[in-house]
Order: sequence, then C-alpha cells, then structure tokens
Amino acid sequence: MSNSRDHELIKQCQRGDRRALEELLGHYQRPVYNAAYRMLGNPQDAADVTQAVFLKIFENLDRYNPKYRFFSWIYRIAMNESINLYNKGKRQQPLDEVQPSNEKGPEELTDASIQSDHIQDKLMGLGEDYRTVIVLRHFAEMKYQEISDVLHIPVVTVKSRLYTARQQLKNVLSREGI
Amino acid sequence: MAINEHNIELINRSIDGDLNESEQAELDSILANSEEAKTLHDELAMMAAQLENAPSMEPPKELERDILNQIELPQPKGWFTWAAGWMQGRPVSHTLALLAGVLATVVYYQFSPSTNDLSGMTGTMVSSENTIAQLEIEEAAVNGTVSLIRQGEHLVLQIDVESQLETELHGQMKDLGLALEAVTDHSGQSMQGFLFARGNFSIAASRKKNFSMLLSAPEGNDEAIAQGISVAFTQNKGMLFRSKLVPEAEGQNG
Repeated sequence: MSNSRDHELIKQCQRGDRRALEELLGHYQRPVYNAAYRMLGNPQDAADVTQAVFLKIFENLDRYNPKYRFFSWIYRIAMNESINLYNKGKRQQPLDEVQPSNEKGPEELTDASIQSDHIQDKLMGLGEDYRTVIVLRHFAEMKYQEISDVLHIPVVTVKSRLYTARQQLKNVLSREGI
Repeated sequence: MAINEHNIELINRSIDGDLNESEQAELDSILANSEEAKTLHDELAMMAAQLENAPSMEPPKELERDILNQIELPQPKGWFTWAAGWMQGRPVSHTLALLAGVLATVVYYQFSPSTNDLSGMTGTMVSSENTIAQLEIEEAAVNGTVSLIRQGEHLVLQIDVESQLETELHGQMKDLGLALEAVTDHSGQSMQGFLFARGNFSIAASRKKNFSMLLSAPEGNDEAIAQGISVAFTQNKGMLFRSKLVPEAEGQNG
C-alpha cells in the first residue's frame, strides 16, 4: 500500500472511520504477524505481539506524524515488541523448563515445512540484532534504507549486520547440511 | 584470487539486488576468477532463496476479530455540537467554508414512491431563488452540486452530480425533523436503487445523479437543518468525497 494511502486511512481512522481501520489491519496484519513469528519462533507469541502492535498503533493515532512512513512506524513497534517479549521470556524461564512443543501433526509435515522449521531454529540462534536484520530483509523484503528507517540505524550498519548475520546463519546451516 | 572485504560487500549486495551495471560487471569478473568468491556467492544466494521461499505463516483466524474488538477509534465530532460551537458569537453573514464529514451509516429498507403528485417537478430543476445551502463539488472523481432549497412548506434537496465511474451516494439527515414525501428523477425516469431509512438515504452506483427529494420541514430552522445534512460519494466501498452542505447565506454576504 502506498504511503499516501496509509496517510489517508490514518486520517480516516482519526475521524472514527472503522472501515479505514479494517483496511489498515487487513493490509498489515499478516506481514506483522510473520515478522513477529520469525523473531520469536512461536505462533502464540507472534499473535500476542501482533495484537499489541495494533493496539499501540491505534492508541497513539493522535501522535502519528505523517512526515514519517506508517510502514516504518508499524514495523519499528513490531520489532521492539518482539524483542521485549523474547527477552521477557528468557528472563522468566527457569533453566530446566521444557519449551512448549511446536511439533506438527503428520498431515502438516512437508519437506518445505520441515526445512522451514530448521531454518527457524537456526534463526533463533542468532543474536537479536542479527535476527532483526535478517527478518526485515528476507521475510519483510525491505531494502537497506527501509531497514535503516525502521531500526533508526545508519545504512552502513544495516549492511554490516546483515552480512555478518548471513555468514553466521550460513555457517550453521552448512554444518548441518541444510 | 583472495576474497576481500570489498568482494564480500559486492557479493552480499548482489544478493540484495543492489548493484548497478558496472558493479555487476566487476562482480562477474571476480566470480569468474575466484573459486572462493564463487562458492561464497552461491552459498549465500542459496541461503537467501531458502529464507525467502520459507512458507508465509497464516495468522490465527480469530486474531483480526480479537484486535478489532479491542480497538476504539476516536468518536467523530457530532455535527450539532460543531454547529452550536460554530454559531456561537458568529454573525450569520460570515462566509462558511468547511469540509468535514461523518460517513453516513445507512440502514436500508425499500422506499416506495409516495402518491404525491410531482409531475410538476419532473424534468425540471427547482428554482434556486430560495437556496438555503449549496455544496459545489469539484473533485477529479465527482463533480456537481447539492442544493437545499425552501419551497413553501417543504425543503427540496436537489442533487445534480456526475462522476467518471459509477459511484454510490450516501446522505445523512437524521434527527432534523424531516420527513421524505417524494423523490423524483429529473430525467423523468423512475428512481432506481434509491433507499431511505431513519434519516439516511442512498442511491445505487451510477454515473449521473440528477434528482430531488421533497421533504416536509417546518419553517424557521433552515440553517440548522442545512448544517445537519451531509453527503458522501463512494466507489466499491472506497470513500471518494464527503462533506456537509454550505449555507448559501454566508457566501452571499461574505
């Protein structure tokens, strides 16, 4: 969706138009959910983050500055919420607690889903900063400047983190023959 | 050829489609002359493809509903509140220009043409001598006029609008004490797709809207009534234009 369309819908939401809200939600819900899933590796956490993101967006509609892209704003909140939830989970989890299983039933297992799960597992082994740039570049399909706008870091830092993240991920995947 | 930082950057940027022509040519030369560089490039390209081909996750079905149920948007400002605020301390002669809208919520039921004789109105426009308010619409998608005219004991809401594509018209005039007595198409044809319920009206999608609504309305309150009428034009549920009427009395004396 174009930036001008986003701004128009935001204005309509600010005037109480729920159809504009539904359109924005319809456009951004799935990509935000996917980005959160790739950051957290857990569908329930991804749903919680997605909900938190949209609640935060619409609670702060009056603070939205149209000078900035809505796209950047929503992803910035999504990444922050994901990282916050991930860190909260790490702090609260006893060392010997067993993680809830995300195992799929036989009918859900395909070669693609098995490989996807392996990739997701290795993604979760990256540090937050590296996982974030991988998610934004390869799953949200953002360009360097867009990632820079979302994360408020220079483009040169985006590239540097991305190249390092790829190298780390490649090494892990290569070791396991994936 | 040993691989260096510059080569690594070129390889990574090529994965991201970020090279210009001369940089791509440079990379092609590096890949042709360095097995190490070629291996790195192929491995990164394969990994990028795996990441990007990973299946997209479907959010839970109830997520959208759950989010919508929790979000409360700001309430649109009531027009009577606005009108009261606007009129306080303002001379009637001031020019009023306002574009604000509240999208009409339309509740439908089938309107049956009244038995009032409107043959005198068919094919003619009502005289504009007693125009209470007139909205001139000059948008790319929609243009024309919407006028509110006093005619004896009645008000006539006259719509004369054209659009490039077929658009729906929605109007709101609830809580104004108006009663719809008749509606007529100025072309002399029967009204198609006109619905009126609880002060809200709508016309089905069309390119031309050229009709009048005869409303019974006690005299003495015309400006307030004008303030309470709004129209909106939509196309496939997308908003093209919406506004309240503009009281003509303000424009004439402004």
